[in-house]
This record gives sequence, structure tokens and C-alpha cells, in this order.
Amino acid sequence: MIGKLIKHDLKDGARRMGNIYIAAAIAVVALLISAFFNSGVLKFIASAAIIIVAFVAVIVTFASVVFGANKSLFGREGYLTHTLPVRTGSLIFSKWLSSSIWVIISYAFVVISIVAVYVYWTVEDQNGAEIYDMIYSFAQSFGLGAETIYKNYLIINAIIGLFNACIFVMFVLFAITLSNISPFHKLGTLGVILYLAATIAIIQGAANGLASLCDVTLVISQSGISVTVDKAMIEMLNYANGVTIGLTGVYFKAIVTTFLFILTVQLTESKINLK
Amino acid sequence: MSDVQYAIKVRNLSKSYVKGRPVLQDVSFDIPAGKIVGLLGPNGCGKTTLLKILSGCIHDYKGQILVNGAPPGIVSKSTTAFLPDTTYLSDYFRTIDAIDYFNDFFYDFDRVKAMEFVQRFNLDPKQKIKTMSKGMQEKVQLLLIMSRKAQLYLLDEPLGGVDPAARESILNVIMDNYAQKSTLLLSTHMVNDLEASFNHVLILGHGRVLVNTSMDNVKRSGNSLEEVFKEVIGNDWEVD
Repeated sequence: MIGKLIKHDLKDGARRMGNIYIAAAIAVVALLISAFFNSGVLKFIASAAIIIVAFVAVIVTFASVVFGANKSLFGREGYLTHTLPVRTGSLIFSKWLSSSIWVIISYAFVVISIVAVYVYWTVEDQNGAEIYDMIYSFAQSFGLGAETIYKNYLIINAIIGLFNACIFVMFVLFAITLSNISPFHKLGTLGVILYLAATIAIIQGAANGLASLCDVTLVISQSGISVTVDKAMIEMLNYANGVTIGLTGVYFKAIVTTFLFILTVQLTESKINLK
Repeated sequence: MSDVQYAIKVRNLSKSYVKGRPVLQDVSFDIPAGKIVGLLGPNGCGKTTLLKILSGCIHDYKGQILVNGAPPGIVSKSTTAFLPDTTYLSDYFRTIDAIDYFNDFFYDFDRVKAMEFVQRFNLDPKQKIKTMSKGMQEKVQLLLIMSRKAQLYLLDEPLGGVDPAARESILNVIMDNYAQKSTLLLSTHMVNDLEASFNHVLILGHGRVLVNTSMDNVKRSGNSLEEVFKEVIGNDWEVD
């Protein structure tokens, strides 16, 4: 059943957000046409459209996640959702996973759009090797010395980015749930925003506090990737053109997100009151 | 087919949305399996709340409930078909999407029967729900519920806001298509229209069960159902 839930939730997302990605596809086609006809005006319009559509996609995706989850779990669509012969945990997990996928797609779309438009405007007369060199030089300007270091740095940061998108969606689902149960429901839609802001502030604050007590750090250097809590070693590696990524917050958020998932399921199971 | 003697067993059920203003107060009753049961009562007496609790749409209540022998949950939901008094399908659904959705989740759903209903109701399977009139939306929801071979059907005001001609048609669809030997609990204000269809009646008032008896007993009293209804509800009743 969980597979069917995820399939239908992804489809539902596609129905809600399909138009924005169709608009994006049209902008991409316009950009390709501008290259073919070498039209400066079309190139500018299409580039601007892609960037605008990409950012609108993030906003639309976020709004769709909030309103979609609210409607299907606690609004009138809940009469169907909550009469399905499935576990509440499966319902929440499906919403979380499908929403996370859509949020990740929208973020990826923004990143790819910016990079694609940047490359299109700056290196149209250059070959692939030159583009690669250019990105490498760009990375070096941020202190990412060796090629292997920045490759690993980008891969690990991308994974952490995906992870952060997923935990953000869980925070959103928790805030929506909280805003639909007594006595927290009194603030209505404003409650979702307030509870989300409070959840993020509390958890980020706690993660920062925990990191200052015990800073588990991922170190990326010429000799490979390692995890350490030794501050002297971290400073030494920073001087040696290595890079570091704090992991305490990541571990903490993973634990808190698991807890929030369980709490969201429990609150939905025990407190749901469809109007 | 249900092996349980009672389709619904309710003990000491209490529910309030606002503290100090209970909708249902310490309600206890049994509904025998295999009956067509009229759920009657004035507005605000707790009919819809009771149906929502039985269907699993409200979890925040006190008391014990068994639906088809199981507490509200996965087992009871797999054998219960609920038609709420509101449109619950996603605006983005087309009729065919809703049919596929039900077909995916309910093992007792008959897709062929659903497609026959689509033709019978003159519905376009590819029309989006949000572009349909309220009457068409109600037909889609009704065909989804009546295409299931459920053990218990919970229908909340299926005839509310429907013109008399359509009322008869909808009633026929319900009576002709609910799975035989299953239980049908139908909330309504249309006492006169449905009296002949019921073989059991449950009347709620002021958050309590006022009457829970067979229609045979009602007939034996020499009164019509409407007369019984007026008698127990007093001046607090509203019958369309």
C-alpha cells in the first residue's frame, strides 16, 4: 500500500505543479531557439524567464506542499485520505517522501537554471575543457584547492542539501499537523508559519549549541575524507587547503526529524478532527 | 459477508469540539448486521460526528467502538464505505482518476461496475472534478461508494440538497447496489421518503440515543416514523 500511496502523492504533486514545469520547458526551448537564430533579445528574454520560472517553481512547490498536505490530511480531502485502509504512519511517510522529492526537484531546477544560463552567457564560444577549467578556477577562489577536494566537497554538500530539504519538509508537515489540532488550531494558517518558524529556530539553535559542545567535523583533504572532533587537526587542515563540514547539526537534525515524524503520526492518530 | 452479529457496537461514546459543549454524551448502542438503518435527529444532534467517528475521520473521542468487529483502523476501514456530506475528491482528479484511486486501495472495489455507473450517470470519465456541478460531483462520489462490496456503508445525507426526481434516482442506486447482507447506516432528514426503506432506526437528540429499535417495533406502535420522531424530539425537530 505504501507504494501506491507514494505513487498517488507524486501524481497529485505533478497535477498541482505541472504547469510551472511546462512553463520552464517552454523557456528552455526558447533559449535553444535563441542560440539557433543567434537572437540577443530572445536570448535575454528566455534567460530571464528561466531564472524567474525557477524561483517561482520553488515558491509554488513550497505553497503546494503546505496547502496540498493541509488539504489532503486535514481538509475536505481528508475524508478520503483517512478512510483508506492504511496506517497513519504510511500516510505521513508518503506525504513526506513525495513532498521532499518535489522540493528537491525545485531546488535542483534553480541550481541547474542558474548554472546553465551563466554558462550560456559567458562561455558560448568555448569548448568543454575550457568550461571545466573555468568552474575549477571558480572553485579555487573559494579555497577549494585540489580537484579531488572540491569534487568531494560538492558531492557531500549536495547530499547534505538533499538531507536538509527532507528535514525541512518534515518540519513543514509537523507545523501543519500542529496547526490542525486543539488547542494549537486557533491561529489557523498563520499558525503553520509561526510553528514552522519556531520549530526551525529551536532546532537550529539547539544544533548550534550542541556543535559548540561537541563539534563532529568531516574533513576533506588531499589524503581523503575523515571524521574528527580534534579542533587542532581541523585548523591545521584548513591551513593546508583542506575543507571541513560540521556534522553535529546533521546528526542532531536526523534524530530530531525522526522524533518529529513519530510525533506527527501520534498527533494525527490521536487528535485528528476533520471538520 | 460479515461474521459479526453487530455491525456497530458503541459504548460510552462522548465527543465535544468545544470544552463543556458535548456533541455526543456517553452514547451506547448496537446496530445489528445486515440492516438498513435510518440515522435520524435534528440538526446538530451529532449524526455527522457519529459517522465521522465510525469511519475513522475523527480520532479524538472518548469511549469504545467496534466496527465490523474491529476498532476504527485499517481492518474496519477496509470493510467500510463512507460517503460524507461534502466533496472530498481532489480538484485535480478526473472521474477516471478517482476510480483508479479506489481500485488501487479497496480490494472490494468493482471497477467494471464503476464504469457502468459512469455511463448510467452520463459522466465524462476524463472531466475534472473541479469543472463539474455539485450534482455531478455527488454522483461521482456515490458511484465510488456503491461500487464497493463493503460490509458497512455509512452515508451522510446522501439525499440532502437534491431535487425530488434525482432523490428517487439516487435512492434507487443505493438500494439496488449495496452489497446484500451488509449494513447500511444512512443519516437523513427525509423521514417520509425513506421510512419504507429502513428496517431499523436510530434517533439521536441532545447528544444521546433517544430511539434504537427495529421498524417492526415502530409499526407495532401504530405510529409512523415521523410521528415517533416528533414525539421523541419534541419541538426540537426539523423534517424537510
